[in-house]
Amino acid sequence: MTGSRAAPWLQFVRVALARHRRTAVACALVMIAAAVATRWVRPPIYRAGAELCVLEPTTVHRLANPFAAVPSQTQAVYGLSEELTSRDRLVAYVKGTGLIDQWFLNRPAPLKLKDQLLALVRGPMPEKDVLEGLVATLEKKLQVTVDGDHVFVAVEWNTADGAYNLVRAVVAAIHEHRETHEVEALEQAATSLEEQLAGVRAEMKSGVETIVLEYARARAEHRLAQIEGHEQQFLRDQTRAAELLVRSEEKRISAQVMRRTNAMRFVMLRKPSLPRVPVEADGWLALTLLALGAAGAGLAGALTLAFASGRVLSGAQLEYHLGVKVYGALRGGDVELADSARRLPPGLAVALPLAAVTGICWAVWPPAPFFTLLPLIAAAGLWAVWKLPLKWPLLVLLVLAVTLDDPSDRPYVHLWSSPLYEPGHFFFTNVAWFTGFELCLLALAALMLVRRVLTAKTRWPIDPVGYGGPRVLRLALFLSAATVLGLIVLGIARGGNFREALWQFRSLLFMPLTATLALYAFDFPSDLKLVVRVLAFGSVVKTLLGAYFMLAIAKPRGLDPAHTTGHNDTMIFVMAASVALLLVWERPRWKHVAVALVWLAMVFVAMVFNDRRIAYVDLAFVALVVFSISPRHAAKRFVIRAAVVMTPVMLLYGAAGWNSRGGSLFKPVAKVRSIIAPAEETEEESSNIERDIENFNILRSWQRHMFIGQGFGSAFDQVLPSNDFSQSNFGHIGHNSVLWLMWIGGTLGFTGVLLYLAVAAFALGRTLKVTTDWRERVALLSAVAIFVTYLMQAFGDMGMLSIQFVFFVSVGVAIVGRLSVRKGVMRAAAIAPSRNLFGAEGTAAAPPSAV
Amino acid sequence: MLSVCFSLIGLPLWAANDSHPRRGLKKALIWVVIFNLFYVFLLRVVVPRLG
Repeated sequence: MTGSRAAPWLQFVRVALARHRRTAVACALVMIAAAVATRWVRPPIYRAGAELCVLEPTTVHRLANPFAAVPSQTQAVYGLSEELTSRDRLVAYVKGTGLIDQWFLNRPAPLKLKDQLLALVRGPMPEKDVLEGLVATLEKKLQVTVDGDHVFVAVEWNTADGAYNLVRAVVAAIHEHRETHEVEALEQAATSLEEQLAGVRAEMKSGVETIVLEYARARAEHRLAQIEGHEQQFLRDQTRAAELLVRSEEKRISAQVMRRTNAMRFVMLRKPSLPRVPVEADGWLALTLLALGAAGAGLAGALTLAFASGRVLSGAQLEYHLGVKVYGALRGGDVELADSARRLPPGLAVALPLAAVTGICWAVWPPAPFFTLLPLIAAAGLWAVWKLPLKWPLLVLLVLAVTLDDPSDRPYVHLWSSPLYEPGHFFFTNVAWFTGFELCLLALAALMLVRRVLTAKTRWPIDPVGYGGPRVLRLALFLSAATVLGLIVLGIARGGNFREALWQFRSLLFMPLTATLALYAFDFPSDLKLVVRVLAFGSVVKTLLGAYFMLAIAKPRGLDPAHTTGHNDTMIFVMAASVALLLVWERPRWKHVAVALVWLAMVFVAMVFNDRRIAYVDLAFVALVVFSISPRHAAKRFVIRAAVVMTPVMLLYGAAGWNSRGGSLFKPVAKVRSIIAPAEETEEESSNIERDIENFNILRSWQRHMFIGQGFGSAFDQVLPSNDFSQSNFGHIGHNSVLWLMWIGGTLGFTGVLLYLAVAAFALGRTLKVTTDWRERVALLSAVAIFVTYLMQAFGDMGMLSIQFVFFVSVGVAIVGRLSVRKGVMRAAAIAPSRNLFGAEGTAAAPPSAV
Repeated sequence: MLSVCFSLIGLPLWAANDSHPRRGLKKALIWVVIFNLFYVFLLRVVVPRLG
């Protein structure tokens, strides 16, 4: 916000504080009182921890069992964290440490009171419920982290003994881990081999008996014994028996070595110790936060009252309501002040609870500044969402979508947690049936509906001109949502599981909703710059984080991870590169060439680090589509000439590097080959074979209902066994989302779900013909790039299941929809004037030739 | 992949060249549906016969 814009608001804040100073002081006092009271009743928190280093004694393994494979270092800690925090383990910790007996004694006073009141109504709480409660608490309070060969255990509990005993129980469980898993698995394998051996030996015995019998018969009948087949079978059985014996012995020896060396594997770096004092925030930090919280609560109280009173306090309010500039200061009389003090406006009903909640947050989470100020930030955010145009919260969500790490996407191969990892948990994983992003989108959709109802008759609606873009496009989006809902009903009726269906349909269902929101909220071309800035910001953040991970974390450890940031970030890099190239394509000026070079260099580094082959295919397809729909302008002529000149050189280069192994000169050729025709026995070929098996399985499943599909909630058949069936969530998700959607929806469902893309492409084609401004052409071609990349990602790697793609495609649909209406190609449903916080805009009329 | 891009992007872009906007839109939608049905026919009838 510029200085001239900020000044009226600062004036409003100053006057509001002056008018409602008693309320401000009251709110600050309420905050402090709530903080002190909560601090008094809150139970103390004791923290205990331990650190172990797990080292596999490989020399002992080699010496004891030279022919068996030596267990790797990663094998020793594989699945350790999940195992130690599993429900069975948690129940064992609770029972083993006697927490059930101490449960009532250690309850905080308010909860004790609640228990006593409930006991009067329902009777005493059964032990089963106590156990469940303790397990649920422990699940939140126990942390087991594995970093390389180090295992960290940390527990926070309301008693020192409890925390200490729990850590000891976890450390004991780590020691048992091998016994219960690897040793048992080896012994079971050995037993199985021995059973097979016994079977082979029985067959050999039976064979010998048959041979002896045949000899006896032959002697009695004076003929030669016919034992050739039996003899060969006996020899084969003998070889097989020897092989089984060796393998079972190897397993037994490995199990013994593992059992004997188990104690040698653990080096206790930090022993569990009894915590002496509870965890508290640093004194100065706690006091500073308390002061900050009190000041914030006072300010929030004064502002809430100023808004709720409905009185005009400053020029900024007049400017907001009238849309005209106000010069000079407003003056209020004593009578007005007395009136406002005597009345108890409804604002107090918001201000005082807000101050109390802020105080409680300070006391409950003393070491985390963010949580102390969370209620105030949330209240300010809600107010802003209510008052500002919808594009701002939508842009904030877009910024979060392109910057936060998606924990389900294995960012940084789980070797490093960036600062954007923890917030990503809220936005990308389930909070209450839906993820944080989905809940935010639902809230914004509700706000959009409220505004459409409330502001339809007002003179100055908050959001921009028009109600949601072209009518045809909105109908296609509605059809998409209706088809998804229909497929959910169909799938459940066919015996599908709703819980699995939820993971399958969520992104497809949120696509039309988000696109409708974007069509309603954005006003292109005026908002183009904002969207491009968000994209640039996201690509810079991801590039810097990816580079830091590779250069500071992976390389020093000698690791070569499969990717850096995440799978879905490919879209960010491809779009950033596409926009950079489209700038030059539509407006070939030196300035744009310079911008594109800088941007491309940065994005190229990110793409190399992220190492996703599909990103290059995306770029190639985008280039092909943009080239074919562009008129023969200067850049296109230049590209055609350059292609003619360079074709022989490129062919020679490709031929020379086709069979090259290693070397940076022919790396691009190797990358192209790994996509088109991967060399045998490479990771790429193995990956392609697995995808082919999965596609075959989906195709065979699709054949049952080719027209209306299976519906959501089911798994596809595993006709051919796949090595990575778990990666497809056991048949519920296909890497090839296009084929997967055809199986789910059949041809009709597939068409219904994605028809909006066809309508958008049609609108885009017509709009492009009448658009001459290079900025608008870049925006339209960027929308093409988004659609093509989305389909490519859907085809290549689960693109239809990612919320990032939902945001990108929605922005693409909004660009096409808004520009097509503005250019008179498509007809909007309704027209209304718009206004932002500081001014008004005109109206747009639908031309008669629009669809 | 090419079929999907052709069906959902290529055909509507081609139909956008029609001089009459409403006729162009109808053409785009009908051709997308026809193409998808034809795709199923190919998969169901032609591809199995090719072995």
